[in-house]
Amino acid sequence: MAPASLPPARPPSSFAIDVPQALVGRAQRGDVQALEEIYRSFERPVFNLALRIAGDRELASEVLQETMLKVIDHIPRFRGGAPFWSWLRQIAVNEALMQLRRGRRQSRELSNEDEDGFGEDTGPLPPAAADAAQLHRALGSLPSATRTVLWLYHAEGYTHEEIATLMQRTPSFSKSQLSRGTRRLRTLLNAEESVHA
Amino acid sequence: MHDRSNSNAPATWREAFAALPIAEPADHWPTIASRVGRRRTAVGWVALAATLVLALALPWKLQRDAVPPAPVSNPTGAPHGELETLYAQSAQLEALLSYARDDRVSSGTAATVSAQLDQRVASIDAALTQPHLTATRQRDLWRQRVDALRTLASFETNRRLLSAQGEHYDGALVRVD
Repeated sequence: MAPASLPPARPPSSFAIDVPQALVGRAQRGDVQALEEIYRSFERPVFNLALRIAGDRELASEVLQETMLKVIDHIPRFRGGAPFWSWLRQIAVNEALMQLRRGRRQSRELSNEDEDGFGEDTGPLPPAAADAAQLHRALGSLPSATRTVLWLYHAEGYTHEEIATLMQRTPSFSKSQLSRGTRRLRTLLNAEESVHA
Repeated sequence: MHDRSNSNAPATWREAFAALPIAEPADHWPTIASRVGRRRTAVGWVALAATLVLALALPWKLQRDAVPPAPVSNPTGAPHGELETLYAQSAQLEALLSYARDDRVSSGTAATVSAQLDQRVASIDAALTQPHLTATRQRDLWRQRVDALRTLASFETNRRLLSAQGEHYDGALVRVD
């Protein structure tokens, strides 16, 4: 008998770091050393997520600081219903998106959104996708909202529904951005490929 | 330029993204730690100020108008020493409550908890008005009254303090009996 179809497994997030409950407990009681340990564990995932979304080291640094200050402020209320890392990641994503909204980048970029072409791109990747520098450049040239959807979906494993909630849009918007963004990424990488050939 | 024959080439976008180099952030911990320190100092001053207000105002208030609640007659010979202490504690806690309470900073859930605690005190008071209470029963009820008032005073002072810090009590309700 054919096995029942299961939803696709979510990719592991760069945030998926196991934080001992004892460490969280110490941090909740205001232990500065515990707070620093938490900061050290998550500074890279937060910074890299912010860098991909905001596209700028300076803005990413601001997101990192604001995220960690919020974590420190709110950690006494963390009740452990979800893993600590996913709670912290939620704060980081919200803070990065807030940074985008402050810069009003998103509103300009999203004014011409459409909802065509929802099909997910499952074809083989262009060879240039293996080149970190070229992929980095291609991602950097995408509109920040499109890049954000690509990153949250592929790198962090969020669903379209979750992305829609985070970005205060619809799931259709998320699907549309993913589809268009992936097509654009392919075009950019193929163009790089032609130049280098 | 990338190596076309590389067998480790990513098969999916997820793999391609995961292979991007990790950027190293600058060390922002000293800035964060100092900002946290400044916030805590500010919060500490608010708490100290609130404590001082209570410490200075309460004895004055107690001296001025604290009157023990009228106890029921004691025909059963309950130990007067202990009852007198319980009456005095009740009066002090009620005076503290009158200072700590501020309905302007109440949230819906906090008001509900407060009302439930008030109800508990009221039901004990009703029990105390019953005739023919034994000495033991009378003493137990006064102990319950002091306990209930202590819980209520603690709840209200915490709520007032949290409010002074720009927070609310809803997240801490689980700590209330």
